Amino acid sequence: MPSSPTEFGVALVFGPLDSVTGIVVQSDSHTQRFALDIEVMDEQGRVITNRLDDSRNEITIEGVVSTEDSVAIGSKLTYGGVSYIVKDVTDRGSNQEFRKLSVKGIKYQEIA
Amino acid sequence: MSSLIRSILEDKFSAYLAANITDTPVHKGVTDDVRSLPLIIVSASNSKPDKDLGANPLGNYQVKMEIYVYSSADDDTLETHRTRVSKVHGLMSDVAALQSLWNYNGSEGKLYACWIEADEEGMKSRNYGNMITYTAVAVIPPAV
Repeated sequence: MPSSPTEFGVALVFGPLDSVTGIVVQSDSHTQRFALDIEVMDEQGRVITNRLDDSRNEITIEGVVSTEDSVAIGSKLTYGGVSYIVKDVTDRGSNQEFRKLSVKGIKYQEIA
Repeated sequence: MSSLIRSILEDKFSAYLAANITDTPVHKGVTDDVRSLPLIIVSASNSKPDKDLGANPLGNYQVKMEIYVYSSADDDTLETHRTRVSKVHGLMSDVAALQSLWNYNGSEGKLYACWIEADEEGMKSRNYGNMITYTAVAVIPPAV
């Protein structure tokens, strides 16, 4: 006969990766990919070589605005220990919500 | 001043209505006042952290405000009662006036918005009654 069942907790990773000045971060999305992805096929069309290079880190951060104009396109933004170039900032609002900001940034492999 | 968002809103809104509707006593939601008809009750029945801010609400709340207007059918006509209700509607629809109840520098917190959700009318015994429901979005005062 089994002993009395006992439930144990398992700690997980919770919440956004970091914080941003001027935004109360609600969510983030971090994508890593290679910009250079070259496949070489043999005579039968099967991939026999794959060259992956020029990695990119892409971040999308969504949050509620606490200070207006706190993030500008073209500026550097450090988030989760990575320094991104801010490529896209969308500021949106409606008459029953707090204003929200969406920030997209890219870290290029060869740009510090 | 209490830093409970419900108390803040009840204090501000009841004082505002009392200043502008002088022929009807205005009470707050839960008090030990002796009450007689006609009367208006300003009750902040529920507050919850604003959903936009998730796990980090920073003192920002959505508050359900219920304003009750009661009149006695023995003393007032239905038209008089509805005029009383209409005054509450008019005063509560002036969002700029409501926002100006908070001081300009934000040390008392801030009212962002207040909008009507419903107006329900009923009659029980010889009393007319309306419950007008509003949603207010506000922040409590900052730490000092």
